[in-house]
Amino acid sequence: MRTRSPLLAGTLVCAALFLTPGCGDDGTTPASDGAGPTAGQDDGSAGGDDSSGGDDGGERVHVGDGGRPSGGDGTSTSAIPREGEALKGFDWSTLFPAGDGWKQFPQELVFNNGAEPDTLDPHIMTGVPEHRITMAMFEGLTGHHPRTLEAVPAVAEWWEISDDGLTYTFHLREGLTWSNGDPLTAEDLRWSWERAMAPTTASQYAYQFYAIKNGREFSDGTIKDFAQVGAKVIDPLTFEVTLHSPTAYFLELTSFETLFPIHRGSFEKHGIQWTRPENFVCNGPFVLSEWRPRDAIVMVPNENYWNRNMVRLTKIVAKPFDDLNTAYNEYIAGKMDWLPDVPQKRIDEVMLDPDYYAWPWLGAYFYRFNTTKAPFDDLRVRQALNLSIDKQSLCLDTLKSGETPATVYVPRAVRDYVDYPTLEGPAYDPAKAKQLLADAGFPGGEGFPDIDLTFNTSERHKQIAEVLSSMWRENLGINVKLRNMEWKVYLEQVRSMDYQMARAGWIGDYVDPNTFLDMFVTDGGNNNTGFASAEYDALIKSASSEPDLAKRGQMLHEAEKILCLEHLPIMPIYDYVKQGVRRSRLQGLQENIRATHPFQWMYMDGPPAQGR
Amino acid sequence: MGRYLLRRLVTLPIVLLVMVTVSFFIMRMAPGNPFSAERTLPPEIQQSLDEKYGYDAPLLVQYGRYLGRAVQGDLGPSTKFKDRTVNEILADHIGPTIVIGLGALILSLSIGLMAGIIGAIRQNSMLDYSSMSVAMFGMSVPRFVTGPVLVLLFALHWKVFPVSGYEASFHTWPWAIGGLGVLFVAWRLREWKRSGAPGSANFDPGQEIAAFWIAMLVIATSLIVLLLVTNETLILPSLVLALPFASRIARLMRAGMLEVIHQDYIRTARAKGLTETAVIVRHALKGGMLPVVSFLGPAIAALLTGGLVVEKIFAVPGIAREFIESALNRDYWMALGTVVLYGTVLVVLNLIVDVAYGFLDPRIRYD
Repeated sequence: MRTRSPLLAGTLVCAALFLTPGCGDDGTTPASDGAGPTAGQDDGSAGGDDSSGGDDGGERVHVGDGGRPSGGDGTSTSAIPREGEALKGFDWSTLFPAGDGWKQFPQELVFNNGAEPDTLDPHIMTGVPEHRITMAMFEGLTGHHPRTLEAVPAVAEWWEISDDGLTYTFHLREGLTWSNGDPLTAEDLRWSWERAMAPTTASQYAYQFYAIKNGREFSDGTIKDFAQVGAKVIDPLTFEVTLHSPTAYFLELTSFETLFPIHRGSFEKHGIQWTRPENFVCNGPFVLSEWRPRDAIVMVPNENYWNRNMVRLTKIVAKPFDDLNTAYNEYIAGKMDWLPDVPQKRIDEVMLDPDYYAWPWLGAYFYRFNTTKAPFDDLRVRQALNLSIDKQSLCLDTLKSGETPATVYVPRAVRDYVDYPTLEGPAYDPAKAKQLLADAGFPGGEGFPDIDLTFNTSERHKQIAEVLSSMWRENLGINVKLRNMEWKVYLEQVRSMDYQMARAGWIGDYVDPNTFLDMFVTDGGNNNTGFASAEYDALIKSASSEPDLAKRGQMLHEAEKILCLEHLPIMPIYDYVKQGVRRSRLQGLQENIRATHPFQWMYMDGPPAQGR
Repeated sequence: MGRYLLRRLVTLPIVLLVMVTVSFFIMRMAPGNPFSAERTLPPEIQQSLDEKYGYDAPLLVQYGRYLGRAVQGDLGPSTKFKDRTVNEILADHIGPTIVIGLGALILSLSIGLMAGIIGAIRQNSMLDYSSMSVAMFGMSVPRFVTGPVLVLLFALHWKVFPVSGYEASFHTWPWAIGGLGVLFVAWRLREWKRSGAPGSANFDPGQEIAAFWIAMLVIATSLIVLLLVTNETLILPSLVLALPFASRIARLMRAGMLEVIHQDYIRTARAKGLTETAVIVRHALKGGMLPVVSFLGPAIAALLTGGLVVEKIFAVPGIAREFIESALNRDYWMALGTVVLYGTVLVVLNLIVDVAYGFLDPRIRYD
């Protein structure tokens, strides 16, 4: 018993926390943390209020932009040729040489996928749990390097890009087949794209095709004839894509699920039932062997995969535990090898686990101000609130899991991947905050109305809100009332601007400041603050068509200055980290800012865990 | 009795219709929609989605369409689990909930009845006090506490049961049914030898019917006990689900027994020289159980609907969580589907309880 006492304590504390009303794990609020009931969907529902990072922000899959990788950790990233014929015949085994030692161990991986996938259809899926499964079983024209996120060849063996950046010619591998042996040709891609874009498919990610000529028009139904869309079959091994404007990250889009090929025969024969194991045909490293809803998804290697030799795992079992406490218990019992999310309630215990890791993640936690209503229509009030909270102390004393306090919106770690100048916002300064509030007409907080702080029900959001409101009370003498509400109600209130100050989170779609900044353009669908600046809009617009990457970075940098230093419609709080635990024997799981980890690189270099 | 049953069965569809109607409109009044997320969808994609799932039609039209489909047994698509229909999801997940629920029912009855009877017979003894204190504890400590604590002790520390999961194999059932069947036949043959075989003058058909139902009850109970014993994943979830019910049953049983034990007919039974066991088993139990029986209807319903916490903690792929989560997800058809399912189950269970009353209490008559 002695050796177990920390565990005992942890679980008891947990049990005690369960008693707190509104706490996610009592099960009454599966949605708790943004965790949208749309579990695992944008809102990272995966974990109830346990979901690490808490982000409702939407743990949704990210489209990488990766056109501009940063080098990585020395694992021979430079070995990847960038484009053109140099890619032909590229030897994958040089990327992560593993020796032979692993061969003596059973190659079975059991991991917690965090939620039951909404669907296994790559064109319809939206969330991270679905992403992990479909990435294992399908492959697009391109893939990505597990560390640097660079585009690497996949279905396309090599490609050519026209000088104007508008035409991409993809050359498919010869002899590609589907898992059932049917040949995979350019026509499969054309048909799949047509299906994914079609309004009747109603893909929530159809906008990923908007970069393609007439992609938007076809998917909203104005154009009925797919021949007018910029996706053409030249011959069975050549697929030509025409964009409507140059898109720096197009090769990242082609590694995104919505652009994956699916098997036409299977879909046309079985309808929505094509994703059942008995009907399932795919083209990725693994195939679906079993799907027991809310219990497990089992995948085994696809013998017809073109790079079969690279695939070392012989079996992957994805468990859908949304109760991260249960998942961690299973991990302790030796039943799992990897948890991509850990229970925040037991974070003190989990952080002592030798298998614990925390990697910077492409997400920002912040508060929105409603700048259309008093008192937040006054810049000085917004600044005063921002300056009077000690984010450092919040991260170190309350969150305690490696989050970095943020003074600006775009997460710091983006700079490891793209060319983007550093920006620092104002630091904690209660004296100046007091002065600003006095200037705004509320000396010592006198006469300042009580403020409503809106957040979706979650232990973590509540904790943060409590800490911040006590700082405001102390430093400014103002009262903040906490108003928590169910996820969908919270979304509706923020969308209709029926709030004063609201919690928010945002997970980037691709590794680029633009995915954070373009939401705050005037009347943007995700702006929801009332912020409007013509100068800002112009910068975002010109950045999107700027071919010079350094100049583009500078433009976005200027835009962020306007947002975070001049207008402050949002109050940055911290940058997310992705916390998990994995056995040391699990190799090939590489850190990257999108927290996307392809299974074909993973293998087991050690005997199965015994549990503790 | 027959007419009473018929009348109750005829009202079932009406009750369901009212439930579906109320749930349909209440749900549509809740803010948000099935596709709302942190990220606002472009309006044209929202439009395609609404068209695909039929949410673009006026509400009354949608209601009419839903009823039309539901009458034919089609409960519609799920907007959350897009590869499966509501019918499939219900079929996939009802099994585990029933298995765990029945397991919990058997556990709570055996623990609760035993504790209650002992408490009543040995009233105000140490045994009575201690079992009633435990019952008080079981009733007041919520499952999200007992669950993790039991996992900690039995799964992580002593490693007797798995941490979570659900596995139910029924392969021992044919043997058990066969064996119990043989026992049943042997029992009837012996009875016939003693009191008269079918066809003879002494034969009592009423007794045969009673024997048949007793056998059914015994077989069903044994099968569930067998399932629990042979599948280690089922025990902890069933136990956690059972505890509050066991406690309540114990208290009800004790109270019911105490009331009966002091009645005249029990004194009469004792006076005519019956042993204490015979008095309790043959005379007191039947009357003392009435409060428990009336509690069983709502209890079974609660076992089936209230498994959310247990299903989450033990990762049981059951239906209780679909019930809650579909409403939070605004997965309208899915939520209505669970309402229809639960509604039917509740109405039928209440009916069974009312009928059982008639058997246990001769004062109750249905006409």
